[in-house]
Parts: sequence; C-alpha cells; structure tokens
Amino acid sequence: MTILGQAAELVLSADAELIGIVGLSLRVSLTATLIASLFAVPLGAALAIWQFPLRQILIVISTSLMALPPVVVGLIIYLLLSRAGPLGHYGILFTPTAMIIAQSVLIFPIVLALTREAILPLNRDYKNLLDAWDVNPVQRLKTLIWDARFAVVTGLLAGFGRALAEVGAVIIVGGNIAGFTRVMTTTIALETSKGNLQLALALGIVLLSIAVLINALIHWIGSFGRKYQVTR
Amino acid sequence: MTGLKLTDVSYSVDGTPLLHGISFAQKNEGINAILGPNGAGKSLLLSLIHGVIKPDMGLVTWDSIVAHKNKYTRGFVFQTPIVLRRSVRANLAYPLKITGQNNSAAIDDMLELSHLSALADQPAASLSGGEAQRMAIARALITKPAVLLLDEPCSNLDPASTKLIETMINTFVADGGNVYISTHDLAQAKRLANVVLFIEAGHLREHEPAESFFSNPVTPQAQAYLNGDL
Repeated sequence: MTILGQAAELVLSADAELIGIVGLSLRVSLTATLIASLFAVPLGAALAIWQFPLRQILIVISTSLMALPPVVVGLIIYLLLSRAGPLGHYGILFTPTAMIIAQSVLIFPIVLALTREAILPLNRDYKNLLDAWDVNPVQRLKTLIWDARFAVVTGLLAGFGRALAEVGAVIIVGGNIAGFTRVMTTTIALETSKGNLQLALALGIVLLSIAVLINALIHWIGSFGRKYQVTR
Repeated sequence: MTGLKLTDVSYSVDGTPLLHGISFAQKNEGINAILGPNGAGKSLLLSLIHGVIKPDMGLVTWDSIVAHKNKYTRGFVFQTPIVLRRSVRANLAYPLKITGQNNSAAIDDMLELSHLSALADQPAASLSGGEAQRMAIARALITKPAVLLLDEPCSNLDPASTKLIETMINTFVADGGNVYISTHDLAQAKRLANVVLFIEAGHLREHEPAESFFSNPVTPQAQAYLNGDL
C-alpha cells in the first residue's frame, strides 16, 4: 500500500492517536479564537465607531501586530511563562493553556482588524440614525456588532484557520509532548523529520479538509450576509 | 410655552454661516412644512429642531426643554432611508428594543399601516425605495412619538408611494401627532401643511399659516420662490 493509501486508512479508521491530536488541535484553537474574540471584537468595533485619544496609535500597533512572527510570539510567551519568568509560578509552560495563550495573542490583531474593517462602513451608514435615536454607547456597540455579524464571524473563522495552521509559537510554548501538547501542525513537523510520513500525511489531509471547510463557511456566510446589504 | 421654540439660532460649518439668527415659536399641532430653495438650510434646520446637532448660538427647546435632551420624544426620518441589516420586522422592533418596550402588536399595526405585512420577514435591504421609506416612517412612529420630523421623505418617489406616505402622515396627525416636513414639492406642501416656515439663504423669511403663505406671500423671496424664480 502506498503512503497516501496508509494515510487515508488512518483517517478512515479514525485512528485513536490521530483523533486525539485533531481533538486537541481543535480544542486549543477554538478556545484561543473565543478568548481573542472576546477582546478583539468589542475593541475592533470601538476603534471603528469612536474617535478618541491614542486611536490612531492603537490602529497602527494592532495592524503591525498582524505581521508578528509566530516564533517571536512563542519566544516572548516562553520567557513570560518559564520558571524564571514573571508568570513562571503558574506552571503552565508546556501545557495546552500556554498554547491557547500563544494562539490568542497571534490571532487577536487579525480578529481586531477584520472586525474594524467590517464595522467601519456600517457605522458610516448607521451613524445619523443612531444619533437621531440617541442610542447609548453600549447599545450602539451591540447594534453594530450584531448587524455586521456575518462579516465578524468571517473574521473569527479566518482567525481560527490561522490558529489551527500555526506551528512556530505552539511548538515553543507547548513542547510537542506526545498525548499532551502535540497538535496537528507540530506532529506533522515532528513525524516528517522522523520519516513517519503516514501519520504526517493523514494529519495533513485532515488539516487541509478543515481549511477547505472553513473557506466554504466563509463563502457561505458572506453570501448570506450580502442579502441584508442595501445595494440600492 | 408648550411646543417648539427657536431663539436666535445660528449654525456654521468651517466658519461659513449656514443659518442666521432664526427665531420662532410653534405650538405642537398639525403639519408644518419647511420650504425653501435647494441649499437654503431646510435639512439643517430640521436636524437642529430635532436636536441631533446643536446650534453654535441660540437655543432650541421643546416644551421648554433643550432639544438634544428629549430626542426620544420625537421620530426622525431621513431623505434617504437608513435601513438596518435586518428583516423588515426586526427594523420595526429595533426602536422598541432600545427604549425597553416589548410590543409585538405595535409591530403588526405598523406593518399594516405601511402596507408591508407581506414583506415583514424579508431582508429590509430588498425593499424598493418607496417601501424602504414607508418602513422608515413606520419605524419612527412605532414608539408613539409626539412629533415626527421628515426630511424630504418623498423625493424621488412615484405618485403611488407618495400617496401612501402622505396617508401615513395624515393618520399620525389625525391621532394627535405633530409633523415637521421639509419638502421642495409645493403641491405636497399645499396638500398637507397647516403652517409654512419658509427659509432662504439661511434666513427664516416667513412663518405663516399655509393658506396665507400660498395666497399672499409677504416677502419678495417667497414671492420669487412661489413664482419659480428662486
């Protein structure tokens, strides 16, 4: 049987090791996306809606952070969480928690920028109406996030995809420990270097399938959202 | 006094004065048409009256309360309807939600008044211009405001849509509502208005009962406007 055939068999037979790795990957990346979005979505919306001191600086910083090299993020978080670091006493280095933190930091600027981009034009459309109704700041934020929900969810999916495909930061702070912190990308890197191409390829198939699924979802949500946009 | 009062109201943009010392008082009754040529300041005056912008000088009060402090007692409809990215029903529900009211019967009533019941669950973005404007008026009326402010609500609409909107306005007034409508459609002003506020170049030139304004305009500017020369 070819390597591709063996990889396909691993996927189709729901190999326990493979399922464990995929499950951990999804758990870490979904949690990181959720945590990043809790902060990035309201902040991205606020940057789109209001003028305030330091706004431009915040926009420049957040945009610059999108280009952060994952290994640098991994290194900084490693230094913070290592035993000698300021957060070393929590003992979370080389745990899934450390990987969640690293991925949250990496995707925060992406979700923030995409949220801001989604809400900027909507705020221009709605501003006069919401001003005329005297809508308070919290209601304004909720209204704009809700009405931009399709674009915001698209941003979250893009962030999730980025987190799932990340390797540099999680390998530094997670340590790639078998059965504990080994996720799809780090396993592919390790197993390829060991010559165990069947598992690497099987994980590659799963990762690619998830990427295709995410892009299909982004496309579908985008087309659904366009129904609610005024084109008159 | 009860009603609207403007005291020496002026407004400028980038140092260019657009409205000059406008003063008048008007009781809360009937339909008041704000007339004037393009660029006279009709929409600006309407925004100041609502309180969505504040004058550089002077004071706008409703029932002796500064306008921007009781905006919630009035409904405002823009020339180009602003459509929330929701269904028609959800658009109508929105003002109720932000004012803490839960009144689904009011939504059904407004859908019926605006002839939009059949489109209630459609995305509001799919409405035609006339339908969207009717929805915007219904949305402004759903919280039962005392006053409705309309900024050229029928511009670019066909006669049938205009008629439906005028019916909505007249129904609101028959129920005790008070309307301020800016329009450049003299025939519509004649059909609807009880009082005319005529502005030209940012100055209030006339504040007269509609009948006397149209039959016997006092100022040369109003005469020129009604003759089609301004």
